[in-house]
Amino acid sequence: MSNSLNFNMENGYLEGLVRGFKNSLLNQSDYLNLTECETLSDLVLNIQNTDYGPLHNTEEKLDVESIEKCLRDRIVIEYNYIRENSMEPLSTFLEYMRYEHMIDNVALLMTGLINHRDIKKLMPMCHPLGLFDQLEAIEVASTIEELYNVILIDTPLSNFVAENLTRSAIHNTDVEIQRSFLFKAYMDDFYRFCKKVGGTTAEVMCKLLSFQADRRIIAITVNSLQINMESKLRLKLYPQCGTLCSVTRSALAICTEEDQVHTILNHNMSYANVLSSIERDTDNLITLEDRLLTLEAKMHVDSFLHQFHYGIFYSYLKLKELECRNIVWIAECIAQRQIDKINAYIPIPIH
Amino acid sequence: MSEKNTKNERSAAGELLDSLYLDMFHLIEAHTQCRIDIERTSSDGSILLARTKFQQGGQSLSTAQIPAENSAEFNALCRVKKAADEDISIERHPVDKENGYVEPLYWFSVLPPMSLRSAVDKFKRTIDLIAESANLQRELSRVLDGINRLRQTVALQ
Repeated sequence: MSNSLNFNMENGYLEGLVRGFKNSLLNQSDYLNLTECETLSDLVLNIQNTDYGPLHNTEEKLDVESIEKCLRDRIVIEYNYIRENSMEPLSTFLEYMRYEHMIDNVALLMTGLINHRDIKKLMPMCHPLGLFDQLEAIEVASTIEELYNVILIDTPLSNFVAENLTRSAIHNTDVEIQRSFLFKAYMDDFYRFCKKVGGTTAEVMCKLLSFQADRRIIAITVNSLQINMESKLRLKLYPQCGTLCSVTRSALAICTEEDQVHTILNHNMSYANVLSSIERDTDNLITLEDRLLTLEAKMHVDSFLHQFHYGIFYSYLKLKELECRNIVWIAECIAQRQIDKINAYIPIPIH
Repeated sequence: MSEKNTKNERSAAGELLDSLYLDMFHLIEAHTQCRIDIERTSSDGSILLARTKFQQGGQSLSTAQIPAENSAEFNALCRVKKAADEDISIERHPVDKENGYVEPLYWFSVLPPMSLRSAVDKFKRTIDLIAESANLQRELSRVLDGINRLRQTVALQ
């Protein structure tokens, strides 16, 4: 009870705000209108009728990329408002939500530098939520080593960089693998932070982050089957904060075929249901990833059933990002004239 | 006698012409079907790329991941092979990173999701179909040349 009273003193306004934002998520009839559009202009007009309002500057070229950028800018405006009006420990919690995008931006810059691309052309490709002061000052970085040195020193990501990362390891390890190590460290650290906050936040967030970790483990396992990754490396990439026990993780680490992965996951109640509902899709459009995304969307919606916790901020951001991806998917189907696949978005089961 | 011979020759030319026209129609049908298949597989590949972006997030596929002019050189895994008067074929080289034969899929991710791998398969199939379409087109123009020459010969008789 005291937790509830204290929560409202400092975070009540922001919780109310996020619950209001959540009510503006698109519902089924909005999606129905969007899927019936025949051109991108129609789509933008229909989006204008939702809480997004006027989305696109008519002077700019109308394509899927510009629509995606406009949607992303909306998320950033909402996030920045919440962040500017937050107090500790919520401020730190909100910063943790950005680290995922920071890691993605760093991976993008590293890949671009390996391909000798001009860093000034790479910066606009970065996700705005993942920008930080030191990243913008990286314009002078022209090699991976310089970029990594900047990140190792005095940036939010410095805590996630492996202590044993040597100069040769930077060059010899693939960017995706380095990104996976950063992401693993970030997830485990975020989990520890939420546990430290305690209360309903710990209860809700630990469940969400554990599911994310399990999803990551399954994705790494399935995606690395074709490249014959060493089981030791695979095990090292698995985040520690998942619900899968160490025996399951070790068994997944040594899998060589997808059927073996399915057999192991069938022993886990939560994932057995996901696997059993996969239809054989000849186009390979709906995959295991989509089933897990659907499950994740439901978990994020359910987090709003609890009160006085920080999980709703995290869940709102994730649901909003999923909504953006849905709209971008619909836009892609319209742009590519593949209307028969337009309904393959992931519906958000809003209560 | 010579009139009978001429009549026989014209009859034989007519039959040959009929056969050539039939070949022409079969080739047109096959070529059109090939073009439709090219359109279908390349659009399937494109939508699978969009699906990868949907599942993994917007930055999972970007132009930053594609090698630029200043990047390290690499060899093509797939080459067009054509000998004189023979059909075009596609020669595929196995992946050999040390000798510069890199898998383009790994530019985007060392842990590629299923949708990205499916897109790669679609685009590889598109390349085979393009070679097939080129061969059909060559065959078609050869048959059309044959028809024109035969019609000129018949007209001169």
